[in-house]
Amino acid sequence: MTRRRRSLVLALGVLGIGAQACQQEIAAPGACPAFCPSTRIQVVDTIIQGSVSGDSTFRGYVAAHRAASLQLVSEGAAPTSRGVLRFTQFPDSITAVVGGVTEPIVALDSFRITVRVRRRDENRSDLSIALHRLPATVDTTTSVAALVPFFADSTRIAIIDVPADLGADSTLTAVVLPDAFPTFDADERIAAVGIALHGPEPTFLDLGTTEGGRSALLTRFVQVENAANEMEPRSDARSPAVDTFVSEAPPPLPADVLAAGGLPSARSFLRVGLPRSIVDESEVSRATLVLRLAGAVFGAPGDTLQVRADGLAADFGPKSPLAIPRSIPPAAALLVGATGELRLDITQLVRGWRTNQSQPRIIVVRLTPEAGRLGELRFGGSAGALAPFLQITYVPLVAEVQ
Amino acid sequence: MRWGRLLLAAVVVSWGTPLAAQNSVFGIVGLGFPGRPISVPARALGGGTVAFDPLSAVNPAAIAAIRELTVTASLGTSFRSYRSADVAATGLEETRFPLAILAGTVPNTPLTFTASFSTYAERTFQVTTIDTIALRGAPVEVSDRIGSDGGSVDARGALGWQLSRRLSVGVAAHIITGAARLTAKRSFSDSAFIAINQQSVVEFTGFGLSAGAVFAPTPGVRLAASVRTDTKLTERVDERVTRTADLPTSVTGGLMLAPTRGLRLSVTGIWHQWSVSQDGVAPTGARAFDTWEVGTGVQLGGRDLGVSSLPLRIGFRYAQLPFSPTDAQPREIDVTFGSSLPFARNRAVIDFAVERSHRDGAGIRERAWNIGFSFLIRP
Repeated sequence: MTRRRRSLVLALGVLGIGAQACQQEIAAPGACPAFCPSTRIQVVDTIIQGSVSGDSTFRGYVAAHRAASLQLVSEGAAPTSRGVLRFTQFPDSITAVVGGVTEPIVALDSFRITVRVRRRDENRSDLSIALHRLPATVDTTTSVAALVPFFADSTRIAIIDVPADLGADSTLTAVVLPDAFPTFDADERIAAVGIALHGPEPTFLDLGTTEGGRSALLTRFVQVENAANEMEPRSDARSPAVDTFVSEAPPPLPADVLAAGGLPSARSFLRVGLPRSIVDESEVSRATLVLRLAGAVFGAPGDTLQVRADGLAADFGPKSPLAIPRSIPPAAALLVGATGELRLDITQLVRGWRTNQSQPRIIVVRLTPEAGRLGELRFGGSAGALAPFLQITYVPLVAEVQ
Repeated sequence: MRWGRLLLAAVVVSWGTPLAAQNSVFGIVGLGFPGRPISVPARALGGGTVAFDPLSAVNPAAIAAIRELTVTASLGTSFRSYRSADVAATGLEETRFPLAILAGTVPNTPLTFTASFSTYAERTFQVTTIDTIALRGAPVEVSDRIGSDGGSVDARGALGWQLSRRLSVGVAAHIITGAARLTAKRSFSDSAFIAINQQSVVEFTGFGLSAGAVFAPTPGVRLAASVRTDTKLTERVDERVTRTADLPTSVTGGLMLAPTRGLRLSVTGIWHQWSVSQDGVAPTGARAFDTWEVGTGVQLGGRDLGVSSLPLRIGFRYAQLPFSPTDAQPREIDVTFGSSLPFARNRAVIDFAVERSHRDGAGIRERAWNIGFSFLIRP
């Protein structure tokens, strides 16, 4: 064996022995208190009153016509809401799918109106939705008061029963005759429909929208004259150019009261001041923002609101971008009509403040999804008797294990 | 080729076998579990040759026996279990590299030198506890794991001088350095509470000096003595001093007899004035005691005794331990044995030692198997 080869074998031997040396298992139950480290992990749980030093509510983030859903609320309780659909213009002819030949419409047979259900209160049954004819000029600026005349019996074009077992992502359809839209041609083939929910008890029904990827659909069935001068059935369909819902506005926001949700959606910004000993010199195990509700939660009867507390990536006032953590904590559920306190988990947010010192220490309270529901949360501001506060569970940094 | 195969065979045989290093539940209290800067052969002899061993970092006069450049490193693994009135822990394993030495002669002088790294105080442990605390008005079960990985290290530079055939002297300077990574983890049974995981690194600094002599009044008798004094151990976390503790003065004395060729008897006693650390460890509730340790061993055969057969080393050691959580000072009794496998015309040697340790005190009974290997090369 050459000297080089011997050296190689020796090196391999040392490496082999060293590799074994990496095994280690030293974790053991402590024979406490005598044979435990004197260091103790001290958990501190504290309520910090006055930790919210400034606040603002800004409204207008998402309007009803930009929401991912459209909430109908039946009559019998305040508030109620009604849906508004204005479909895009139908052409005056139909282009055949095969051959691309344009065929003039000779006769209008019927319409089929399809709406998609996103969510409902499964504890309510015997529901129906009534479809009403609306002026073709209806738009997103319309109001409940302006629509009242159009939700009369004389304008009703169809009633669709909602099956008791109807689940989410189901469809409801109604077929109406051309006289449902007597001014269809005069309105340049634009149709608009109002939707009202009816039931024995106050409840809600959420319908899909274009923004939510589940838009309503108006299908037109016609007769055309083909190239051989024969009558043939054809159909085409249009999505809504406007899909929104209208409701009575909640009462004005009192002084020292903040809001989240509603229409258009509102967000509340809470500026938080926490001691350095907690944020920078401790490890936060749990942080809770406690909001004290200013009255019962406003919204559709039986509905549950999802409330979130998020941080900001930068402070640009109302248009500040949100900082959504990689693992989004679950939103807090809040039943419409609830009173008392709402506790929001902000643990990840507060822990992030320690690692990212440039992040503004501002908490944004909002509903998710924004708009799409009538619900609005109102809670006390920092200057009032119902001021929010933080409850923090933390462990001061252990300087040395001894 | 033969020696290479033997080495590989040793590695293969020991693969997956638990190797043992020096650590103990008694290292949780005080400044840690004191390291033993001794070679594997000396460990196999119960520490009986420590005062004379040039490859142990105790008596700087012993290095005068160095004749050529020598490199050695050792590793050890411990398999431990301990029991108290309430707790029993088994299956504990730890591996460390407790000693590495470079030794040789200083050219054109009668001096010899060594540079070594050894464990000064081992502070490696992980302790788990379970408790129930009230949080936000509800009981929550918490599981804590507090650990430390590392310890203080003794970096020694020593010079030896053989004044005559009978007398050698030596001096050494010690720098105490090293670090331990500290962890404190707490997990909660309620998932609403995020687990806590804190880490920091404590760095150790300190200095020491030692001097010694080896005297051989007759060819078969050798006497040795050394003294070492250390300053303070300073512990820093993030540049902030978190603790200082006085370090002990140590006195070592030894006797070695070689009544006949191929037989060597040895005994070494060491006294450490660990009680000076009391003020430093008191805040943690620990007590510091002066310690005595006495080790004795017998070696039969071996090339270092002029016999071609493989050596057999057996030893016995009694030691007091310096730190305790109570007024009762713990003690340790070791029974040891070991041998050596020379290769390449004795230019490479693998030594091994096996120790059975019994440690008792302050309500704890600890039992350990410590297995040490060292690899020596004379290039």
